[in-house]
Amino acid sequence: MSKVFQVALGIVAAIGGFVDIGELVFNTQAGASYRFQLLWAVVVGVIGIVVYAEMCGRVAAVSKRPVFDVVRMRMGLGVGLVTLISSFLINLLTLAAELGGAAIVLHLLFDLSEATFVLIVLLALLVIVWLVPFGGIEKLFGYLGCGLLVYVAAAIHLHPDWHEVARGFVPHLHFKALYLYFVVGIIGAALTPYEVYFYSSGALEDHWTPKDLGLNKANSFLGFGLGGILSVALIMVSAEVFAPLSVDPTYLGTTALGAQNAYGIAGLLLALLGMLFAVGGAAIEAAFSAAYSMAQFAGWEWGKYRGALRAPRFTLTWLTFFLLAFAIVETGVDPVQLTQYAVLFSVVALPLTYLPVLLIARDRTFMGEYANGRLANTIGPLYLMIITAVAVAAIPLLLITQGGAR
Amino acid sequence: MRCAPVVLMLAASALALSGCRYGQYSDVDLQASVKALQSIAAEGSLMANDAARGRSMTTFMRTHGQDLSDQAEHEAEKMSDAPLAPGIEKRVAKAISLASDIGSSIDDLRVNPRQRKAAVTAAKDLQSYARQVQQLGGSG
Repeated sequence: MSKVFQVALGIVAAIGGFVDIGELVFNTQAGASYRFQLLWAVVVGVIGIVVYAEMCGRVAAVSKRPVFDVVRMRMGLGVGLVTLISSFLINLLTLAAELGGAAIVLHLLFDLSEATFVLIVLLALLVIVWLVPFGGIEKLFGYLGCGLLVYVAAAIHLHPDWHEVARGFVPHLHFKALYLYFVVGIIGAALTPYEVYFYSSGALEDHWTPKDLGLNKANSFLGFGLGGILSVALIMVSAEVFAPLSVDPTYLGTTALGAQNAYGIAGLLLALLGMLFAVGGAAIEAAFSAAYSMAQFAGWEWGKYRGALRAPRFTLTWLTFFLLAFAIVETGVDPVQLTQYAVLFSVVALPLTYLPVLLIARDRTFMGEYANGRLANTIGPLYLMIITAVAVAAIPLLLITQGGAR
Repeated sequence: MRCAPVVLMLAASALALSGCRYGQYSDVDLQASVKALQSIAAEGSLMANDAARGRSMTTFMRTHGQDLSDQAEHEAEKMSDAPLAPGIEKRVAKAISLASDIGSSIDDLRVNPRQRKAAVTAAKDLQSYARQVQQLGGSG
């Protein structure tokens, strides 16, 4: 039974990627604009992240090397540095967006100013990260983020046309810029690099060994599978509630309104609670990913499990990131737009992250008996092609659609 | 240094693709505003319906309502501030008036979120505004 509760790492990593503040709004927009037609893109994204997260966890458990270490080792210092800088920028934008997002959720619940709540969120997260062990952080944010399961219940409760839903899972491409923008955004969000930086480093925080490879599989499938189910549910609720009225969701409050429409106040509260912890977890994930990347690139001591004083530069890095992100939010930038841009820009960096992972995971001289099997060796390269296509298309689509505005 | 032409090309493409004509509020801009106003009115009506059935929280109604009302005001300001392209003046005037009505209805809802009768009225009004704005979009 205890093994069942050890999937928290996968859940918190997946929730950060699939249902952070940007995705909460992005998925809602996708459902409002195209009803169920984009559900297949979620499945494509989920299969990709399950395959690659499993590889990352396996490489970490077997070689004790997290993803960023692998990137630098396999691709060299130059590419490692480019990846480090891009991951820094993306993590910083994401962290700022999540801090702002958590403040928006509290503002919707308690009606104090958002600026006040940004400070409260910052202090609360700093205290939690400082005092609570890594396993506790995983469980707290992973499980309370599951309040978002209210969207799964709501998706069923709203009696969708199941034939139409089923048709949505069949891949089909319209060559309309806005549709392709959503496809790229949904697949890109599922494969966001900071998820795997966090996941593989988290595996080492949890002291995984080859004995934990079963747990790695469970985390990849259940955690990221759950993230995908939440994404599907958000799209379905939006397709049922907002699409018929031609509502174009641009606020986190609109996403919450979908749950309220199904279950009234109870639905609203569960949705907001789930959002608060999902967004808070994503903030910690982004801050830690930045600190992991920096420490692993520079060869510093790292790891929450070591304690603040035994890994001082690692600790200083995540603290600095929190403070920089706070400064960005205080400029008044819209957190929802910020994270949507962060997702689209992170898509460009996807191949730099996933190519070295694939190369290492299939390398029998490095991984021995734990190297990729036939399935991973088939799906892995296929997804590398998908990732590259998505990376090439991301920025032009962002420009053509003016960030999804048309 | 080799990056400079690429950056310039990207910037030029972005401007060309965005269809910007600085300073003038065009029919395309009006369509975008109409779409936004229709969405605000429809969402406001959805929220008002929940309030009418006692299915929402006061704080949520106030804070989210404020976002919607601010957006309606922002759309009205956009239309008021820029010089208009020829031939769209009447539709813009109507859209500004509707934006103001939509904002007022949502503000009424925010001020008295527990008054169910007022919420029923707001829901009906906002539904009607959503229809009117939609017609405005189709009448160009």
